[in-house]
Amino acid sequence: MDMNASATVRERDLNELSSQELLRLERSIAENFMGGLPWGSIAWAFANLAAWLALWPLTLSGVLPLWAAAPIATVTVILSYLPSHEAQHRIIAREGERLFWLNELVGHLSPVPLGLPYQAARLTHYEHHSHTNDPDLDPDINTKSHSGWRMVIKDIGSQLQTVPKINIAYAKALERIGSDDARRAGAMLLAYALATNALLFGFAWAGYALEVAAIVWLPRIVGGVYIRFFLSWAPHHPGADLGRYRNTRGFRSRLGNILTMGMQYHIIHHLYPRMPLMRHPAAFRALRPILVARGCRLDGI
Amino acid sequence: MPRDDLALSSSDDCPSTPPVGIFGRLLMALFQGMPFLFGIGFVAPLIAQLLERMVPGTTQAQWPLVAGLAIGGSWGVAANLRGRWI
Repeated sequence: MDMNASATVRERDLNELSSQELLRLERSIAENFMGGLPWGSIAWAFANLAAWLALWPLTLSGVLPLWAAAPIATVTVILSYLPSHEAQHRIIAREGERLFWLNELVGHLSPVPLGLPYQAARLTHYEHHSHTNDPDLDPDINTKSHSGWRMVIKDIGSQLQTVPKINIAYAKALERIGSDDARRAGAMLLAYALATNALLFGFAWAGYALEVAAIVWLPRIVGGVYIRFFLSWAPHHPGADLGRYRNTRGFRSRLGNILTMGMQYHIIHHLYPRMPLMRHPAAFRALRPILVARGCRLDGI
Repeated sequence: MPRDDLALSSSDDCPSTPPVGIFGRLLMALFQGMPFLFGIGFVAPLIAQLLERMVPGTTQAQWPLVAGLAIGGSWGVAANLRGRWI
């Protein structure tokens, strides 16, 4: 990384810089953490998918008991989203680049345990970035709550609805986008929903209801709450401010950075969406003085 | 993040929705009846399998499946009517 730029940040009185100068300095530092192939995320995507797929023969044959299969499947579901998130932002490769196929492969395959179609996730996630915390336009605004416990209770309550609010928000976001891509993504969302139910019904009537509940149904409910808590509620709490430096925050969790899946530094992602997840902690440390000067919310970190 | 059972916006929510064909109407009917189908398709065999594991000597019996269908089916109908599972 450019150590001179970091040293500059520490030594200068940032308050003396104009907003434009501060932005230029911020970008020059962030540039050092951009680019390169995120091999860690790529390996994570395929290893996690392999682990989830391995649960099927192991559980259906009775080799792995249900009490062990369910928590393992829940962990794989929780871990399945972020590699796809890297692909959604074209971090592995951009369209037209040599490894774009790998980007799309990771994007499509990684969230299979979660049952999330890639294109719908990508388009609605872009809407989240464009309208973070906007009560009408942010498709993830439903996780907004006064406290973490309230968020969990609200989320479970939503999942008990036959048509959860979050699904309505995603369908509306795709409808609002209105492009052919969005229509195709909506159709894929429907196809995934039908395929998931067909999978559950088929295995259940074949005598594997408990097994498929342990591998798919229960992990998606529990894992979904965990993902929405750490990827949506925690980094955007209190979800009241709009704007580049205030719509997301840094925070310190008692669970640490790994169990929160890197979300303590999510503010870096909103500032530089194409920066690989695994570089966020270092980028945060380098950019922290600028974030302080910008009045960002850095809760304990 | 969407869950398995996807929302279809009601016509009140999107007045400009273009007219849907027969396939679209079938799909909407399918999703509107999904809680009932889920009750029959998944909850019923789940309850039956649970009963078979918990109650000794029921492996060949028919009543766990009948109980599963009764509970799953009626729960699905109630969820369909109320819009909530609980």
